[in-house]
Amino acid sequence: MTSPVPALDIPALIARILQGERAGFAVLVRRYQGPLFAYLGRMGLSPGVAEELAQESFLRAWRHLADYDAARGAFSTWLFTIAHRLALSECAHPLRRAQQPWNDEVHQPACEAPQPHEALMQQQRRQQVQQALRALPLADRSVLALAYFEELDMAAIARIEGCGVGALKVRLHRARQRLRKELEQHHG
Amino acid sequence: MDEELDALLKQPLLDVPAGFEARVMAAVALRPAPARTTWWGWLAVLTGAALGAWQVLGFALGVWLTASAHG
Repeated sequence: MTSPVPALDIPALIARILQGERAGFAVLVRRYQGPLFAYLGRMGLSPGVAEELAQESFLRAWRHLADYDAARGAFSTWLFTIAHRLALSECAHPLRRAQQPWNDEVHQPACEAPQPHEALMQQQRRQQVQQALRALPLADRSVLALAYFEELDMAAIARIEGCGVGALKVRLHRARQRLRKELEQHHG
Repeated sequence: MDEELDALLKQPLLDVPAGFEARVMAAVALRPAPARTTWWGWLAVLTGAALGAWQVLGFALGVWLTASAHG
């Protein structure tokens, strides 16, 4: 998820999209879909809900693309602000839709699957982390979910969260402590 | 533990489902091209909102007058 990616001139790409090059939007989707799903996973959302929110995030970004101002912040900050609001709304109203089952058979990853045993262990560990994340208060989950996307620095996360950098660092520290405790208590 | 925790949180807990990009682009193809909201767009929205509020107030006033007349 956080592997280095080739430099992409996002403002130039957006300018081309706004001039009518719709296909250019696919480059943005390809660039940010991984980090976005990773973020939604850390928010403790199921694959089905995450896909709906990721799609809605991109569609809102498309609808308002002309209003994006590169001078006010990176595209990633803007996109993650959209996704963040959708995710918070979803987490605050979990009964709004029927909970979808955790079933990897209906959610095949696009990347190459590891060996069966390794895949099983990895899947088990992922589920433990997600269960632990879901046990945290929403504010903790939210800050942890944003903090592990390398493209967002502390200032960008603070802007998305609507707090100062100092307060964010404190919240992040406490959230990590609670998550560690949760993992130790319930998942060894 | 901190490094282990970092490693756990850095790994993607959800993978991108197959065909996701194609589904997004198919949905984008059905939508109009993005356009900046212009000042006359905002003016139209505000005018519509003002007219709507006027209608609601008129209706409420009518209900109140009717209720007062019968009371």
